[in-house]
Amino acid sequence: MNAKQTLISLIVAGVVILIGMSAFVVDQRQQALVLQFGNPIHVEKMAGLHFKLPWQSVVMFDLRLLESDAPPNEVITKDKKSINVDNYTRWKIIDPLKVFQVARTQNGVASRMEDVVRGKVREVLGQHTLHEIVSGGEEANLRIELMQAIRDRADASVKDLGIQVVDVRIKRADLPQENSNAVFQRMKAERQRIAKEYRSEGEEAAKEIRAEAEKTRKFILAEAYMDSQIIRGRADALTTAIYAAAHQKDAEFYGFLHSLESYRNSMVEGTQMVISPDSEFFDYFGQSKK
Amino acid sequence: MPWSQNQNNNNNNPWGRGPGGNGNNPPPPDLDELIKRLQERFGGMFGGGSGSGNGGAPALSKSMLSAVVAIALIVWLASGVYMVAADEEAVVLQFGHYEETTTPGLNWHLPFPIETVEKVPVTTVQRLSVGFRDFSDGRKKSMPEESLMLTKDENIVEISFIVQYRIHSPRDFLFNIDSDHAVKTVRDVAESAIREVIGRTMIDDVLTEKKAEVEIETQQLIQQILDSYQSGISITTVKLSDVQPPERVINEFKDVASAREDRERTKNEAQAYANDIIPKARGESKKMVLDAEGYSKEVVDRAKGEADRFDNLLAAYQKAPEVTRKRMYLDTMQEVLSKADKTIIDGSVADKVLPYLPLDRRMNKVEVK
Repeated sequence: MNAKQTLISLIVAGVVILIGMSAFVVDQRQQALVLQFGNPIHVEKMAGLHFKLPWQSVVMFDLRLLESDAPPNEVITKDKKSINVDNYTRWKIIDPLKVFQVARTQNGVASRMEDVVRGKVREVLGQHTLHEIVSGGEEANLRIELMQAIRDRADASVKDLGIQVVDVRIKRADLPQENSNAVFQRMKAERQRIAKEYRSEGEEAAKEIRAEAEKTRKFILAEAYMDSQIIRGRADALTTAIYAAAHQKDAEFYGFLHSLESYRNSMVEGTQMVISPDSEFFDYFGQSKK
Repeated sequence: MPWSQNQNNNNNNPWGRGPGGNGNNPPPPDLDELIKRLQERFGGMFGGGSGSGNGGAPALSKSMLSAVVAIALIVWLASGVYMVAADEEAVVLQFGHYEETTTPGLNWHLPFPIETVEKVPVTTVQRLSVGFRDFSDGRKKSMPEESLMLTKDENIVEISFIVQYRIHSPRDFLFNIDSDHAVKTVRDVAESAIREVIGRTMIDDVLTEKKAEVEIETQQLIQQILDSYQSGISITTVKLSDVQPPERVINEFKDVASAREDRERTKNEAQAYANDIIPKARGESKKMVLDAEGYSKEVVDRAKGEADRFDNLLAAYQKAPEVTRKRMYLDTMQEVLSKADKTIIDGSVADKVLPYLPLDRRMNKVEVK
């Protein structure tokens, strides 16, 4: 009884241990490589509960899109300028078997891939000038094309590593120090030019507005002067005609009248006069003596 | 690396990846605790340790055993109950395999180790700043290596912005990308996208009227890239928080702004001058015409009046010309001489006397014949 119980217990324990050693779970995020004495046997990509022989072991690899962000990379451009390129890579493991054979671990293959990408970044960007890389040059989508070219070339080179390069994107393409100094100088000069232009434009517009105003004023005044002279001239003509019509009736009398009027008007209070007694006014002045 | 941790976990634990890594998981049912309690309960029945030489083990009660098993089963099944908060969705994995996504409320899954649950916040909008970091105490630290970038016309501009995003598909988020580093993913994509957008925009546009366009384009580009990763992340907003020229050239940029002001001011001054002189000229012009009209009326009427007077006078004069003439002359002379300061000198001595007269005091001298 006791021995039998012990035996059953042992068998149960053995079965449990055996199941424990045979079963393995593959997570949705992972893919598994089953090894037998260190040799890869098969790849399990389906998530779920799986079984293997108890003496086989399992190595897990990530199934997700993985990130890799290597430190900035110095690139020599086609025009022999150096530029700091900071890019990141998105990649995934396609074939765990190859990864295991080539690099054993995920980290190992990641660093191999980073080397490849770094090389491709240099290779592709090296065929373009600084201007093209930084601002796309004349082509609108050059930046995108460059990134795609790097991606495609890198992807082709990592095929035998069992991985896929999904995306390579340039985060930054910074100008080296001496170039950014030049850029700052140019920006300053450009701003100064624009500021000067704005101020001169202001002067230009102001001069035009003032001149236009002066011109308008002259036009207005000239027209007014002309009109007023025409009006005055007509009045003068009319006046002259009226006087002439009247005075023509007796020109001699008019002369007499006008002279008297003139005397009256030219003598003001206190005017000094030196008069000869011979004058007509004194016709009777001395006659009482005679 | 979380990955290598996973690997270790898997080597040590035949049940595969424990529900670790993601802080949102419920604690796994504590089996150790359960076993310990069972051991305590059955301690007496199984002899309670090896050292006891006590032969009389109590008889094993069948009903008691089944009750214990039933309780254990219930406890085990109950451990599958879990709560999903209102802002979350939960993903159920069966032996690591995606089973379903559950919505807020009380839910149940097959207990560990068959199924596990991972909860993901889906309505919470997460915020990420690029170009600066803000700390909880309100400090802001700028990150020039993130914020300085080149425009299409090869100017350098300083841009900081905020990206807000949320997880719209927990399944994609957990299983397609490295969700432990999701923030880094969004940041990387955002940095790349803004540089691409700014790289095809002129600096003046960036600084002035095209800010909104830059925001929209950047948001679309980030979304497009994240979608290509099938990341399950939605970008809700991209907001440029700070767009300015770099420190070293900021004075020149400010001067351009003030030059623009100067231009408008100079123009306005000229316009003010124009607005001043033209109405005045119009006024002047009206005055000139009105003056002329007034003059016209004045002289014509005067002429008419005088002509009429002359006509009348002439008619009267012609009736007795000699007498009238004399009278008029004398009247006038009387009037004239009464006002004047007179000096009468006989014509025969006039030549001798005149030089001695103090003519400087007799400026208005008139000689009447």
